Amino acid sequence: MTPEEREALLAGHAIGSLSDPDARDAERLIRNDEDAAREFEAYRDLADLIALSVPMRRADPRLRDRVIQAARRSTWRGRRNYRRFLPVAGMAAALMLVTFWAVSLQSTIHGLREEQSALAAIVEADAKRLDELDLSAASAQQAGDLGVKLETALRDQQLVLAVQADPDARLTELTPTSAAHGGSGRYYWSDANKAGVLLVYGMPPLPLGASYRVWLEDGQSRTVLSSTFDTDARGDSSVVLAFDGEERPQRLYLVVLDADGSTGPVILHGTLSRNPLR
Amino acid sequence: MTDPAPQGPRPGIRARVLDVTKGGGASPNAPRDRAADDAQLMEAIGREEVVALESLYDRYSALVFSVSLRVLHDTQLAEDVVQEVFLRIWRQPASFDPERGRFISWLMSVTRNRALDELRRISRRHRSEDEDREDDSPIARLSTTDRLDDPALGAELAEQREAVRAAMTRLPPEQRRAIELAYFSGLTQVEIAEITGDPLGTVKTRVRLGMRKLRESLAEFVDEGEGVRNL
Repeated sequence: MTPEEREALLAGHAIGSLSDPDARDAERLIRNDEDAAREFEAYRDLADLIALSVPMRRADPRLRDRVIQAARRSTWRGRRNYRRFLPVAGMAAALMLVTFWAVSLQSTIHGLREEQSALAAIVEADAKRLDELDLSAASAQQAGDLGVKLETALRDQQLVLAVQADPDARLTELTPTSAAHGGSGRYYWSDANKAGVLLVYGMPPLPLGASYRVWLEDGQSRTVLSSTFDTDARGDSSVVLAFDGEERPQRLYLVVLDADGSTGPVILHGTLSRNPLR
Repeated sequence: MTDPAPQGPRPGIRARVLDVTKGGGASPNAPRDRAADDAQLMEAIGREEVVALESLYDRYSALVFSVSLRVLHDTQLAEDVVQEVFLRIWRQPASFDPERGRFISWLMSVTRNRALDELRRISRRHRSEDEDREDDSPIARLSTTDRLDDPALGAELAEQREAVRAAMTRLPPEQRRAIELAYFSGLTQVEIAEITGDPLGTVKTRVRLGMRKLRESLAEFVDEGEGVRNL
């Protein structure tokens, strides 16, 4: 850029006569060159002087009054409006505060509701989880119980087979009472397996909630609860009777256990044989 | 010429404002620091003292109107600009920052910009037709009947006006016209070239040479790096 081009750029920009691209070049030059910035300032101040070259003309004298009155009205209107609308502004402010409070309260209520809903959802979810856990636990319990039952049933079945296979096992035919209604039962005892097996057939159907219960009595007349069981639809059942006593049981009683937990009539009974089956 | 406005504390601004009003800011012989007075008047306007606005109006309204009229070539529009400019001063006195320049420079800038805005609002054709009227040239008006000078401007500003007008008069007509079209009509050099039919390079040269000559002629009013003095 020649000095003339530089001067033309700065002087032209000072009086606002540059097109947009040239104006951008001038701005860039001013930003990057301190001398150019000073020169531009001088030209800009010079441009302000150009306004003084206009021939002086007086405006309509009434314009002065209009301007001053407009200024006064502006001030007066502003003050009057301020005073006039002060109560309104106060009410508006109060209304805004109330509105803000109401909105805030509503927001709080809404928040609380949302929180409550969230808590309810959490509780519900937790309850469901708990139910699921319970169900799982119950299922597990049931499964465990079932497993235990299956294991017990298997073990009992093995014991029943083992007891019946024991050549030294002792058999006792149980005596039915009048309450047996045709039902009958046998009792096997095996010293080798230290277990006894009760087989019942055609036992009378029991009231809802009732079951059969076996009591064993040792030689010291000590009665021990041995087992509680139900029969199948035909009234049949095979039950392994545990006996933890030092001696083998001497007597057996099969009674009905009512639903209320009370003991009902004796169905079968017998004195256990001391003689082996064979 | 007087020295630039002394910087220092400004005791009793309101008292001085009233003094400006009573003291006949209108008197061309009153020795006074105009820039300081202008700044104080603006401060008083900031306090909503209408008397300060009246003082400013009495001092500068003719200049504002003249510049507006020169730009707009319409008395009613020029008066509208005058009203808008002074009401802006009244409503937004803080828009003038004395730290950034003298009041009259700022006032001329505001007036010119507002007038040019109004000029751009009206049709371009109307403006172009007006620009072709040679007798609208302020220099032409100077040479005829419009030599009225406003005593309210004071001796300092009157002297500066005479210097500027003389410097403009000494410019070759084509340079003066290029500068006037740029400054008072807000035309770019490209637009000036279109209006005058001169090559763009010629217009650029005329603007550059004209501004250089003005700078040389008015050197006593312009300090390099400090801007315009004594305005």
